[in-house]
Amino acid sequence: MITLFDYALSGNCFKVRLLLNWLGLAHEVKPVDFYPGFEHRSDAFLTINPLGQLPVIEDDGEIIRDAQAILVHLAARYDPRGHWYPLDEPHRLGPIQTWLAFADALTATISAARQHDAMFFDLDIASARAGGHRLLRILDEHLWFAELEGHDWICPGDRPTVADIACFPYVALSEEGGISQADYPAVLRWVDRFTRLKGFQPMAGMLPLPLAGAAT
Amino acid sequence: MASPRPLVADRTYLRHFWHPVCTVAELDRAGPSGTGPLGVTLLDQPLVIARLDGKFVAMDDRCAHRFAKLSAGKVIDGKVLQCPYHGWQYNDAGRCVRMPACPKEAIPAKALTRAYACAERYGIVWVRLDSSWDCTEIPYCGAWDDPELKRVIVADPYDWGSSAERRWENFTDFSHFAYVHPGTLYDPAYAEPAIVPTDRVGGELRFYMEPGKEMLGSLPPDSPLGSFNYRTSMPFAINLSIRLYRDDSQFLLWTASSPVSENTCRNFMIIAHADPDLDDEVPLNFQKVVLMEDQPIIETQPGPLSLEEISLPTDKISNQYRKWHRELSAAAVNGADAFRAALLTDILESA
Amino acid sequence: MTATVAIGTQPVALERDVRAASLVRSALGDMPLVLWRCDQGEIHVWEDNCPHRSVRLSAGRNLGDCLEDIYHGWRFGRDGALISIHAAKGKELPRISARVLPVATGSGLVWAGAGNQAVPPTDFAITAGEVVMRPLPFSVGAASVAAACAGLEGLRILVSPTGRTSATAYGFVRRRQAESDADAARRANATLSAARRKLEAAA
Repeated sequence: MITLFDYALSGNCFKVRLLLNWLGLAHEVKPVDFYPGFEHRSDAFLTINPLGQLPVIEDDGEIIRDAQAILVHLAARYDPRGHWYPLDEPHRLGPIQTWLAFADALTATISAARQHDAMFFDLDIASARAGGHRLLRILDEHLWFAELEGHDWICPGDRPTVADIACFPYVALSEEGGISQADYPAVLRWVDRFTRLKGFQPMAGMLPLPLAGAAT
Repeated sequence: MASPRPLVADRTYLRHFWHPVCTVAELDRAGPSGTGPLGVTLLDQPLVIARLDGKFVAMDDRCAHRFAKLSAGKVIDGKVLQCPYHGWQYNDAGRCVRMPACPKEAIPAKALTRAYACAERYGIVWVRLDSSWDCTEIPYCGAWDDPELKRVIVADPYDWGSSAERRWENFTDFSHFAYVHPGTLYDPAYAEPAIVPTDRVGGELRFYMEPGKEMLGSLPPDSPLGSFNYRTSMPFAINLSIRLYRDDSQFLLWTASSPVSENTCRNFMIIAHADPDLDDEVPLNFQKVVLMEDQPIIETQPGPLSLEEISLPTDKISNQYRKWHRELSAAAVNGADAFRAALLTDILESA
Repeated sequence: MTATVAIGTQPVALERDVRAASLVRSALGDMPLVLWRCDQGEIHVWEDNCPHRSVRLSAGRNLGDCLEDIYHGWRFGRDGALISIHAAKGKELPRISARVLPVATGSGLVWAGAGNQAVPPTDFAITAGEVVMRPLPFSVGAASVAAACAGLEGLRILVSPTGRTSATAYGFVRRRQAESDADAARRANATLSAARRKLEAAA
């Protein structure tokens, strides 16, 4: 049985919930009151994750922390087809890891800006937003040329990978941190494709689903 | 593109109202023994909230000495608020009573931080920034008045990147129910809301509506469908009392938005209902779904209401609300009597 | 080679980037725009604002024959006129329209104008051997962008203002011998990105 230590408004927790649901994995959710309770700084939670970060999972008695690590763990262990993390195709793993690290940078910038705006965290908002725009520019350029070569997803292939799941939440939530998406048309098309994936359900703060079908 | 003309150019009238700033539960979590301090923002003004000698106090979040944030300090012995920088201590009136670096010197008269009217009600801390006219009350909430309401939940506040005016209009907007909340709050087959009378009574905008009973079969069991009785204390509170169709019991949904800035609001919610055995998570989770459906849409609107927006007869509640805000803003320029008249003159349509 | 600021009629997107069943955001000066391709294949460019309660239309839905606002389900037809209101089905509708801008297409670009018609400049059309570049957004004003891009080899650039201190560069790149279209577009994108870094660092 997998236990997810979860906060409903966290994009990093959301990505883990997405993959758990897509893989059809039974799991128990333990809510952690991140805001306004700051329960992630409590002694009880710091024993589980000394970094005080969400999400964390416990799988077969083993604690795994860090959203990207959890995605890789779940996909490698529970997706025998290797769609989400193609262990049998080593040449694809490097690029996927590159974008998993990119997702961490999204957390450091866009998620921080969102915490400033929505949860009143005290931090340098101008630098968080500038950092977010810098990353969205990089992602938009990457996706625009990927489309030109006929690819729909962050890493070449017929299907999305954990790289797409890892990057999706904070990109989709950027406007909650005052980071406009208007300048990133290729990013918006990718967000649109991702939300049309079968079984996708948005989290709070994301716009409702576009009409089903007619994916571009 | 010329920027749209705002509905009210002058928002200073809002300083004469009581606004919620935090829950008592938040203050309890912010410091040992529930004394705070907790930093909040109201109408762009940073405030520190604390409980000193059992009394709730709101003061400018700035030490008179070197402008450090008092909310980063701590409450000593439950009596005084101590600045984190040089340890100046303030009493509940905002006056400095001790300067540790020179305890024997006379304390300068200017060594104070401004304190504001502050009170606790409904498990929520309220602040009024300008009490010079003293003609406003803490908004009405009926959760504890009705013996039928056996369980009351004071929820944690949630923040939206939108104005308090937009939040109020969204909450009372009948014509978006069927569209944004199909299957949650409203059956899309019954999309046309009735246009109902609105009354001004004692500083509240009141109205009543009865959505079609036929929808009952197509909505989830948690959906609070019934006759809707609204008592909304200006400027941002709503007491929605519902007589549920499903079992004729009472259900109360209360909300008040706090105007953090022109584009941000902090929203307080109280739910009360007749079933003492119902898990709090059930009604709370239902409201979370509703909020999740609304929030991203409302956040695409610019914060301030605009005179250029087009209104229809079905927008009557919003139109009446906007009209009253304009009157209050204009009256406040003319002083206490004009403001009191604009707020407290009753106008009845329903009689 | 050349870089000028678009005046009157300006590029607002690439034609290929405006797809069926979706919505594209752009800007004409400081007016935010929504672009959509209807089921007849035409591209429509409107102000990105619902006249009812100022919600962004681009948060709504492209239903093929109309665009639907996401808050109250107001629907606007191809000509921008309000054609149905969710809360008032079958009732007589007020005469309300989304703000519609004149549109033209050509050289792979979508053009919009603030006046009565969109007339792309005759001297900015794609020629044989040229490839359309990826549009590049800048966070400095259009005049500075044009000045900084004027000397870039092999590029012809037209800069669309998208705000007082923001602009997007559209353009064409001359393909080199044995170079694919995609490679030419990549090379142009790298050249322009380098110019952007320099310009924004100075600003």
